Amino acid sequence: MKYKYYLQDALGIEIYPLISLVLFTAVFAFVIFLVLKMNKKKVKEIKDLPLQ
Amino acid sequence: MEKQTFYYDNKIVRNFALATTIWGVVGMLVGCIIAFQLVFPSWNMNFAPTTFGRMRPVHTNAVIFAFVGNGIFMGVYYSLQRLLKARMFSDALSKVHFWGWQLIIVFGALSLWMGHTSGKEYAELQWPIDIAITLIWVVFGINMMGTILKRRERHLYVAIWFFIGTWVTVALLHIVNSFALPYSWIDGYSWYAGVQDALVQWWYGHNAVAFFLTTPYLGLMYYFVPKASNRPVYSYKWSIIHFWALIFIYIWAGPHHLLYTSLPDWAQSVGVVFSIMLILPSWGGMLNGLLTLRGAWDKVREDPILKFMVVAITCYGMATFEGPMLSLKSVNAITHYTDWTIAHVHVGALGWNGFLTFGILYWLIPRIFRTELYSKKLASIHFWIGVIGIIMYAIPMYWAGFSQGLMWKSFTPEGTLTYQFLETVTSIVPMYLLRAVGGTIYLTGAILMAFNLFKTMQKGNFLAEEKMEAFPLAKVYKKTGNEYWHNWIERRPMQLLVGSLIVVAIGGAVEIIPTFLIKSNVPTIEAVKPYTPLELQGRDIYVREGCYTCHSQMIRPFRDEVVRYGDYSKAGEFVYDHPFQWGSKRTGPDLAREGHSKLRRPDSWHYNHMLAPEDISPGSIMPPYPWLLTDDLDTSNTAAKIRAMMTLGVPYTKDFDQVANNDLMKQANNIVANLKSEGIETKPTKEIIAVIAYLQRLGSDIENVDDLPVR
Ligand code: HEC
Repeated sequence: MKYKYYLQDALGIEIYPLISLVLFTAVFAFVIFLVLKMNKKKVKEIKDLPLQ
Repeated sequence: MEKQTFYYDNKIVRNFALATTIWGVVGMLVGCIIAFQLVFPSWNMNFAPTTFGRMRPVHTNAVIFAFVGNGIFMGVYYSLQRLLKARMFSDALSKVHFWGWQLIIVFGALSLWMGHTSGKEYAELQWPIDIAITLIWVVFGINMMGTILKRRERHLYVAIWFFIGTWVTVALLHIVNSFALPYSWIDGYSWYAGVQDALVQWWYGHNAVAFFLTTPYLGLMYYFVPKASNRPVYSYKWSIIHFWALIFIYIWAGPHHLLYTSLPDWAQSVGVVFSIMLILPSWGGMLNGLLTLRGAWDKVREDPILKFMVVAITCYGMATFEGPMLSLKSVNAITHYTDWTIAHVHVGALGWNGFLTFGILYWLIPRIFRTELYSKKLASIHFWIGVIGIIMYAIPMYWAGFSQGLMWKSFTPEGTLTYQFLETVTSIVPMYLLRAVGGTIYLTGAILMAFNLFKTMQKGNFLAEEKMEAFPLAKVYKKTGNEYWHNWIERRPMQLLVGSLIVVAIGGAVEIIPTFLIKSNVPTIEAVKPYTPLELQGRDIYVREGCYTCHSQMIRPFRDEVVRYGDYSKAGEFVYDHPFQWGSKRTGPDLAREGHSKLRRPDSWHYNHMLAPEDISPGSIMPPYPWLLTDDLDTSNTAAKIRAMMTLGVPYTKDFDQVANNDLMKQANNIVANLKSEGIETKPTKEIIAVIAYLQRLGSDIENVDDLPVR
């Protein structure tokens, strides 16, 4: 790896933490939303898998 | 459709269980020895392979990859077959996996003892072994995915997602971090240098904790805690959120190992934010584990297995609360480089990993040997010994870390440092003794367990092939009408694998790529020049002896550090450091500016100090290195090393490799002449000369630079 840098400066690098936060919140909200919609009976079935 | 008859392979489970037990005892034993070395330096035995710097990587690698590694495989091979109602995909692959892993452990330990190390924590093994690890990991992956594909149960229970997530992420971490350029058939230099190397290393290092010590063990928790308590997991919905949130967040948290270093601020901030967010999924998972036992507390009181599991999950909770706290910059300022970190990891390692493994072993061995545990009483005794061991380990380390951290920062009213570095060490040596005793108590418990399990095996009747019947899966999946979204991915292991990979790759890429590409992240300093051949050889000895396990080379921008060690470290100072040697623990002082005129010691001081540190610095716990004074430096590889560095982009002049050894001898002769004027007779061919050259070079580049960059 030769030390060549492709961008001279970090244009708006502060936005990185922001992007990651938004991304995470979106994924998290999506997972919660879908989990809330889960079917109870099916959940019970899968939950009992180790005990079979 | 007719039921099919098949057999679970218990032999592979037993083998991994044996390996877990044996390597556990060995790894912990090495840990106890190095703990005593910090109290009694004579335990280093004046012998290179048994000195602290080489033994410590043996300990960490042994407990992580040998003890916990085999523990993971034991648990996966047991639970996977049962959760999927299928035998492992291939007996041959199982065998290759088992024996391959054990060979890697043996060769790994030998190579570390011989001084072959990459110098990157928990990734010390050199490139040939790294390749072997990759191959065996792929074998494990094929065996696991193959089993999943021929399963007789449609839905993948949550434990299996954790196994899949673990598998892809560890593969990614290991490959990216291990990139190295070989210069001999066993050694090589890290592909990355300085700041970049540090970021990649701690992205790896942190996630080795996350994806080797945590996620697979959470998978085991989700299987074995319900098993041992005979009740289903408290909330399956939580476990889904737990999984996705945990793998998403964990991958970002690495930079919290590099707070206040020369790592760009934005990367540090990302690390802090995500580390704090980690509390949520971690505690969700912990509560899910503990609440599984709701209504079964009477059983917990009776059953040592459940006791082990409860303490394990509680320790997981404590460690994952403490971790985010240690990521707060203000807390980290005091705790970093101290024994606090050591306390933190051992709450995780002894409590979470150790106790969960013990619980599983006590549960599993009697089952596959179709008998009762040899002595339940002994297991209970082991439990209490273990608890006392953890407490005796952790409390002295917290105390040592906290008090040393404060002592380093203490100033007199006149504005000078209150304590010499060595004073802060000698004052905590009693704590080191208590810790060593605590560790030994914990080890005693593990030995009791080994005896108990051995006796159980002896009286039992091993069931190598466990008969089972189940319906095969229908070719076409019929929806039952009770579908929910996640069923979709639970039926599709490959998609689950790719999904996990995408989730973890985002975090890694966003952090790492900009650090490589953006020039302002590493401002250049003209005065910083490549190492001379002699210094390079000296540096490689520094890496070989594991000096980085006790010495940092990274001065943080704090008043006390600047007064004690000189100007804080700049990113541009490390651009030729393959590998970086910032270290993570200051058992000895920082050495980043050891050669700067502010700290510079005479060559003869270093000569005498390396021979017998205690003579020069009374009360020192640094090991003596007498062999550096007698062994000849191997210069046959100088040219190859220079060429490797040139390939990595270090700007030596063209064909410098041809004359490197002349240059080396010239510098060595100067040092020998200098030593002679200070009353020491030695030869320029000795290793010590190279070490002195390296130590005197540290921090000297920027000696006369006035306009240093801010970072
Ligand atoms: C077990 C931990 C440990 C290891 C391993 C270790 N050191 Fe040290 N080192 C110390 C301690 C403690 C001190 C402070 C007391 C003293 O001066 O000996 C120290 C001091 C030093 C100093 C003096 C710094 C100064 O100017 O006051 C140098 C130089 C040094 N070590 C070099 C090395 C080198 C080179 C290696 C590897 C070959 C090494 N150390 C390995 C613990 C360690």
